[in-house]
Amino acid sequence: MIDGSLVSWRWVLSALFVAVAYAPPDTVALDFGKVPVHGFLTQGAIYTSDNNFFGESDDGISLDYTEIGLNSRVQLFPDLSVAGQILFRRAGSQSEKELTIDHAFLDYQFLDDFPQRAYLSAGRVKLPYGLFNETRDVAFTRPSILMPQPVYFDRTRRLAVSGDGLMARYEYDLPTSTAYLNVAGFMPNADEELRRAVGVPISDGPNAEPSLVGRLMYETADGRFRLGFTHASLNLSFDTGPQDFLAGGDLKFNFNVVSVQYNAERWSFTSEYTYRKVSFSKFGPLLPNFEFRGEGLYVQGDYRFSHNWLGFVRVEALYPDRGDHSTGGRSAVGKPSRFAYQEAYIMGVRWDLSPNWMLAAEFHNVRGVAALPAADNRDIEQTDERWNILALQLSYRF
Amino acid sequence: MWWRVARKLGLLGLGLTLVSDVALGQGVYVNAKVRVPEHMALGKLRSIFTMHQRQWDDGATIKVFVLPDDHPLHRDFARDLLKVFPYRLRQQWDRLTFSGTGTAPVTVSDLDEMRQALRREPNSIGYLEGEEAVAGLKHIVAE
Repeated sequence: MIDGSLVSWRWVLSALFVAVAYAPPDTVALDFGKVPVHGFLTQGAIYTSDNNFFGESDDGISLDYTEIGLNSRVQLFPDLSVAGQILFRRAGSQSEKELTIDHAFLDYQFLDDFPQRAYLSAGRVKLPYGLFNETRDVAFTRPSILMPQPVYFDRTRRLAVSGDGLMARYEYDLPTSTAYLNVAGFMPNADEELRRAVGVPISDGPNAEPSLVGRLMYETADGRFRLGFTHASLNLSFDTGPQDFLAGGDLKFNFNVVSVQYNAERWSFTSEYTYRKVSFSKFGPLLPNFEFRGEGLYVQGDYRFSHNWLGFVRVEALYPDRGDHSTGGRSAVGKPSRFAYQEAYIMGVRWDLSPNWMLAAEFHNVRGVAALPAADNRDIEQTDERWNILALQLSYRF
Repeated sequence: MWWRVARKLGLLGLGLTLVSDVALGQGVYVNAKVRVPEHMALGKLRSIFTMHQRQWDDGATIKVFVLPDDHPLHRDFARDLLKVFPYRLRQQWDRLTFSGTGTAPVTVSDLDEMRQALRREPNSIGYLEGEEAVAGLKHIVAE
């Protein structure tokens, strides 16, 4: 583990943390001339009793979980803004020191007539999905250190994070509540991580195909009650090469998510349920068309002991094939039966040392590996059914 | 922090906190040049402080100032005047900031800085302790 590059990387990270600790006034964004810049810096430490999650965490401590983001939004004209964020992310073998443009788009407000507002964005946009997807890489905004896996799979994260295309947003203020509608047409991120996760043995693919996501959200003006519904239809294709035995074909993901949240002064209750359909078609006679339907659910309760101490408990369940919880049916062909489910009990605490610094810790007791990141666990026979995760996280924001 | 000490002393019977929190409360102020009626609907104020409404009626961009999340006046303002829990305000601002779809208000470090910022910026809105007249600012009554 201790080779030259890793050591120097840790030095750089420590230096960054020290630098921000002594940085000028907290709570004020850096101001390069007239351009406000915000950002965050997060380092996690993960221990697992078995299986690897974000690095070599099995019976050891993995520090391969780092997120650094810098973003800005500048108003060019009263109705036109440009926004962007760059993201550096390390998360085990899945993202090895990956620097990406997280979002970069022009945002035009074409309607501002109380009670209605509407915007059109063009570029790389964050996909509206559930309650947390748009800011899932920002530790301060997540419901926990690790996202609820049944709804926010880290296994196929890039597919869900952002897409290149157009997004329309519409907001309508009712007397004591607001309705929000987001619709995006985009080309999804199709990369090596996704290729590994879907496991189709074809050399050319997956390729991005036009996809769609829409979310309707209703929220009371006091923020107490939130109700959302998301539908996403993500399309990918594979082209066959001379060495392939399968024909090129289509892979479609259909996601539906129902989101509910109730917020009181001291406690919050959050739950999201997802129903998804994955279908393979046109892969030729050796792989007849098939589909499977999976579902996932989590329920979380937060309690605020004070304005800067929070504790939570969460229960998660994910079944890639809802009709077959014991073997996973078509969702887990050739895999051990523990890939047919993932159920977990989680508890954690979060301490906001100041508006800019946050420290969190959580424990997961897990049964099953349906959402286990494939990149960190190449040998599926070596995975264990019952495992625990202990995670710590330090984060700074400005 | 002096206000925490003051709060504790108040609880001990000096009555300091009682006077500052209950008798004075918090008031919304705009720069005197902002052309808005003295009475504003609570819904509109919430829409401004959650950064959804971004322009005044004359089209000028609204400049919103707030105190730090852990400042007692900020917490009281959010809960008692806007009737939104302070953590929900922060969650809404973060969603805008980190998804690129909006901006968070400008955070000033204390009440002195708030007063100066509101006087200096022509299209600004913020809040102060008490509801009395402040030179260069206009007090807005939420209804």
